[in-house]
Amino acid sequence: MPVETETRIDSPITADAKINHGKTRLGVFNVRLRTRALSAPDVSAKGETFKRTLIALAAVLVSLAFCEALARVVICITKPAIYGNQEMDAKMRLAMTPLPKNKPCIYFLGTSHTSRGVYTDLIASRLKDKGYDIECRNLACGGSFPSDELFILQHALEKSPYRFSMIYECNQGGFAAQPSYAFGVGALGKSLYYKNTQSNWPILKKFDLWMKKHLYLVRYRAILKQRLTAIPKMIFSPNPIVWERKKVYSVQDDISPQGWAPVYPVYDAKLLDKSIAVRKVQVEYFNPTAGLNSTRDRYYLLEKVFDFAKYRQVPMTMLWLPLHPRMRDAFTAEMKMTDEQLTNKFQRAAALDKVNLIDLHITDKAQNFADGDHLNAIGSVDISNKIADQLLADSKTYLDPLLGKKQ
Amino acid sequence: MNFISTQFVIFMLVTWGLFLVLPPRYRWHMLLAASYVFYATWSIPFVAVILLTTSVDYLASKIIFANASPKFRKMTLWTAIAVNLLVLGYFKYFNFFLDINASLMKYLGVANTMPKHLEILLPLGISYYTFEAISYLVDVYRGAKPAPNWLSYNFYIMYFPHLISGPIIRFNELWPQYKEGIQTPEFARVGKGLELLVLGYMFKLIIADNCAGIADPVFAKPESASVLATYTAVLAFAGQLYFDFLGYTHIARGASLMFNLELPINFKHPLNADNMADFWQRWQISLSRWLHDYLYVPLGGSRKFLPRTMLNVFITLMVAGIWHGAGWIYVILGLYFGLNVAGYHAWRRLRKKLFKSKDKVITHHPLYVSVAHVITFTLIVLSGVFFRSTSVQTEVVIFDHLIRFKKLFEQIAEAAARDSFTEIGICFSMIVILISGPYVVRLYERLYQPMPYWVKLQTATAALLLCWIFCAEYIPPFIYFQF
Repeated sequence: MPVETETRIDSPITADAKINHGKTRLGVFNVRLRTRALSAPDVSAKGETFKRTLIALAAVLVSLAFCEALARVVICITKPAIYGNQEMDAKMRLAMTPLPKNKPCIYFLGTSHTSRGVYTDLIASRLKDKGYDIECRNLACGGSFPSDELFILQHALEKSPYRFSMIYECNQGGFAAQPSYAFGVGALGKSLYYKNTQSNWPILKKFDLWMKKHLYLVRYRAILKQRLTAIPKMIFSPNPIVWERKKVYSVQDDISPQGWAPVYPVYDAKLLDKSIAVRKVQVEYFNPTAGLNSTRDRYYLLEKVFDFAKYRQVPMTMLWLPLHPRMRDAFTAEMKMTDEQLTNKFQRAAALDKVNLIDLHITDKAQNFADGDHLNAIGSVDISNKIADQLLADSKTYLDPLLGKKQ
Repeated sequence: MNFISTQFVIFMLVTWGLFLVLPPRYRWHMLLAASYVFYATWSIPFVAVILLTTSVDYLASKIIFANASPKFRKMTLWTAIAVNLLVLGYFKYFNFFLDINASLMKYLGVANTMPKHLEILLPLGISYYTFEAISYLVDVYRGAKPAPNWLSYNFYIMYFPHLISGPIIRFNELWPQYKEGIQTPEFARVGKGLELLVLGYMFKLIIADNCAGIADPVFAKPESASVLATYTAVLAFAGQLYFDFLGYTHIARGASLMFNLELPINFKHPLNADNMADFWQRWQISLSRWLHDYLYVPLGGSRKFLPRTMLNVFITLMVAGIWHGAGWIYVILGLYFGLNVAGYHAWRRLRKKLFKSKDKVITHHPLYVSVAHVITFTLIVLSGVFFRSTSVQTEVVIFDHLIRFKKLFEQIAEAAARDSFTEIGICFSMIVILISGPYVVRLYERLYQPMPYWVKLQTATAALLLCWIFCAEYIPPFIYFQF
């Protein structure tokens, strides 16, 4: 990159780095800056200055217009995501689809583990078979944080403010998130609706919102950044799974009516090896003293979800999803520690916030997984059946309140 | 008020507008008022500190200049310098002294009656304006004319583009530019100012801040990072530090040019230095120049025999290290630079004795030059570890990682097997970015400089938009603001 641009000899201030190699003089500090008093500059004719200023302003405007046009081209190559990524868009569409009047709903929230792993359509049909006409919606998004999920839920409730309960995922797959990831923001942070404006002054706020409304450069800033950095990111992709995922289903096209996004169809030994290898790199960031706090953005914010449920007096359940047995074996110490921490957290939540737990985290079915922590299509059918079984087995806790039946 | 904020943009626009409408002779008065506003947005009480020190310095300079008695002049000079250093010492080093005292008392087994720590905030830019004040006093003592009035001296210290992080300028370099009023800048000069501003923002927002995102997690928890990640972080920090400070200097110089006042350059491709002595001629030139003129030369410079020269160099660079901050890590930083540069001088003397007349031939040989560049580059990048680490323990952990070459190669092979080239790519890119400076400048001057001004403006607008799009989620303040 350009460094000092004004190093020409005729510059008024120039570093004169003549090194004196003389015997008695050290060549360490003999840099001299020559400064001459600036004579009064020639005052150009006012008309000429005015003309040049006008041309300069026009040039800036033309450049802005050109960049805006370029941004529109870049954005319109493919449909841009409104809420940070295509998956969140799909889940928002589902959330905004009103439920039949007074039909209760169970919302499944969480990350990619739930999005790919909980077949909500199947759960709903199992419940219906037993006489529980309850909608089940999977609103979980890959890479999301509790704040993202609450944002989606908030919109779902605006459209369908009926009886509902929440099932929130928990999984240790992300226990070893890289700091750069943990310190970052989720899909919502990249969406248009995050902090509509960062300005505090009313005039700037108005100007900011006006720009967001009319300029693609402003409205799609995050997406522009994503797209313009896509090629180098692909080359230096730290996560090889990204490449594999392109070969199977895509979230926006293959999402089920109730939100299941089965990205990974079957077991893939290669994918498993790669995901474990990736985690092995990431695990170096695991904080043995802080444990789960090392992914503070993901787990720490769970408190927000608990608070939400408590405030809205919504029945809440935590869903502890399984990991591939090899994943557990690869990180025995970390798993033991996070198992304990999660158990304590749930016990505390159960006591304080009346949060239930569906614990499915122990499994030995390796074939159910696509990689170390994501269930494949077969696994998600299996786990969804187990969830349905548990909901039906304890229907007094999970289902009857939704139908208005007395416990 | 940070240089990277909406407030600063508004401040600049308003100040520049006022600057243009005012008659030339009143412009610097307005700039002085604006500088006070600029400083007061950080802290109003610290304005009083500057008022106090500038008043003392101005009075002292008048006394020194007017008085004929050498003894009295010397005494006044030392008193004024002592006042400046005491203020600096209190705000910047007092807690460090308390730490040393506590450790010493503990070691001696004596009860410590002093407090362990005081809540002292550091006035912004104190290291810079203290050095400027000392240079002014010494120059007057050496025969230069003092400022004609308090306001003109105050402007020299307070002028906002260089107030916070330099460049450290001399009074007789700035004063001629405003003593007869400040003329309206030529169109080309405004263009140059804007060019520097845009470049500065690009360096800071696109390169430095994104490098910070790579370096910060590793320096925050080095024991958890892999060897490859540590290498990446150390290189990324070298890039962050250089482009952060370079970006600041460009913005400062660019903003100043908009007001038709030139500030000196501060960098000259330091990462391309031949040796560590050469590095100090290229890195923060205004500071090295100050240290040379007001410390190294008075200590005897290189006029004495070799060990004495080495000692002088060592002391000077120790001061440079400690100037950066209070704490053992800065002492180590000074020690590191001192040993490196003093060592280089010893080597140079030895080399001349060994090679005699062939010395020049050997030192100009491409192999020697390449090896010298690689060694110097490595030493400079490693100095970043001392600079960035928050404690001596962090330094130890990072250096422990850096010497595990076997593990490094294993991790590179492992990453390659996983098709994960992120860290390797970053390392390679950082080295290219850090050493390609002179070539890029040459290209830049050949391609960009001959363009018509309106094309330059269009490019600058596009560059600013790029800065805005590519800037990191979190924009940290300039690193040198803390000094």
